[in-house]
Amino acid sequence: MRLIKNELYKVFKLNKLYFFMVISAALMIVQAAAELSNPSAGANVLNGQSFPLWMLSRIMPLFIFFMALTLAEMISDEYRSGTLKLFLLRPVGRIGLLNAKLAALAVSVLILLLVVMAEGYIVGTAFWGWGDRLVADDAAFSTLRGIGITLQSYAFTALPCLGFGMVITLVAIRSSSMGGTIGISLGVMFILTALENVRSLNPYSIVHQMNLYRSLIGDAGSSNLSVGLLNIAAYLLVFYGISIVTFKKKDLLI
Amino acid sequence: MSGELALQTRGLNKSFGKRRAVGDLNLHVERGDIYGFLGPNGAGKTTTIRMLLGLIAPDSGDVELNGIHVRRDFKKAISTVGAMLDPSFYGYLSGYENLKLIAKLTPGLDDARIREALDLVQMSDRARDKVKTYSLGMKQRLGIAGALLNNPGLVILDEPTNGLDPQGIAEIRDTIVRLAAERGITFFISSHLLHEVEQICTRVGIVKNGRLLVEDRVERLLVSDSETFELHTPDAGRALELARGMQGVRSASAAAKGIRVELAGTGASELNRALVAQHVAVEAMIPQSRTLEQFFFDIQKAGERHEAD
Repeated sequence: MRLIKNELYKVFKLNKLYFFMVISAALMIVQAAAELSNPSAGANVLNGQSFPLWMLSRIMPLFIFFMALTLAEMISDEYRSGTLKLFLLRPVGRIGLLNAKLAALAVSVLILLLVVMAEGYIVGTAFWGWGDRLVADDAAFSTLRGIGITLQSYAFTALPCLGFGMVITLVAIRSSSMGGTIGISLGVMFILTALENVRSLNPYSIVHQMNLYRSLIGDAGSSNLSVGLLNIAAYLLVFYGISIVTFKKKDLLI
Repeated sequence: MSGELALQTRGLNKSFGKRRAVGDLNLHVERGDIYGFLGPNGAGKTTTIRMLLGLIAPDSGDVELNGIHVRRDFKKAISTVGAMLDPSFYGYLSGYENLKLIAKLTPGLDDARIREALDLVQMSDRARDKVKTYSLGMKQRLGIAGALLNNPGLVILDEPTNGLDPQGIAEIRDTIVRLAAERGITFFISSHLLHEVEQICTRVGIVKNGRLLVEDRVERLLVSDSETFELHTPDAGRALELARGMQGVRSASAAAKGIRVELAGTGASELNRALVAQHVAVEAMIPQSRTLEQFFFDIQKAGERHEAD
């Protein structure tokens, strides 16, 4: 618990989280302004209640960039600057330290998701008014149910985010530079995004699972949800396992 | 070995690819020692220290810190040790915040202990400033404060005076000597600054190419069966020629104000008489004590010859 507190302390002190909160708000304003001036298909149902959910898939690359930057700073940059060993020269195990970093990442991602959701409500209401219901994927929900679904979708999205975060964790442990970690992570994201067109690969792609929250609102059915959850669990377990083994064996030369 | 061992390695080995960084290293640091771990750059000092502290896994061999096996019980072993490898801190945090994060990981360390450690290295007045505003010397001192936080019996410092100006070096040196005397802390210090080590260390180990060439008390290493003099004369060429032909002269070489002569045993007065008899004006004969630097170069050369054979 002390290690987790330490890692969270550093995350909040670094101000990156606040920076991403500002960036996400700016992105939402730009997106809302663009939709207002040149509405895309389905944008006619936008209102303050629908906007956060409508934005969720569109703002996902920002979360991947946030995780890449945070993990690059927490692992690769600490290795490069020598601060990684500050804690390891204390009665602390390597697995414990990595777990603390991952816990701090999970907390930050969850906080950012919730703040982005709140920003969505504010920006959506400012542009279209609050509206009388949530409309998403041709389904309509009452205000209270809509808020519940939106909250559920944002919280649920933390899972595929962390699945991808685990891939970035392995990259960060293997790489000794921040730039390397961020570059490779974004490269993986772009490749997986490009592969979205190959439908047979979709069930195995962690990027595809970023939209799994749609199963909660649409009629995709629970089987889709189960496959998606299995996929995310596989990413979490496999990449966590490899990351732990790699981190335990890593010689800290710097 | 007379005392109890604070640090011991047995057959420590480490290679990176085909390059052997450390080979069959057996170190013995007694409690109360200020132990100088010497060697040229690339000799394997830093790799050894990282193996001592569990940051690099040895290919084979064991490390014991204060009698506790590092590989078997890392957490217990490391909790008896303080270490500063390089002054790496979170620059965006203050010195105090950095120490606070470290202190949280060892049960029983409170704010009072952090303040005490900062006082010991005279860093209290800058403790609230961000580390990125510190000079290298201040970071080194903060590193020593961090190493002292848990009241360790053994402190391991890797090149603690690296990059410091003469005043900074003197400050670190005084801090080490004071802590060893006042608190009975055993220090294990790696360095390539031989003059610094000679001034403060009680024992040294010299490594080259990852191998321990010698390990002993400093005063024993500096004992010699020969005497060296610097002889000041305006007629250096003639003095050198005569000295080289005399019995009992082991070596003679040119020096800044005359010649430098190494004599087997005590033959200084005979040398003086012989030179005067040959009309060589001897202005002064200054005995030269053997330094650790000389010993270091001698042992390095001997190591090279041994390797060549």
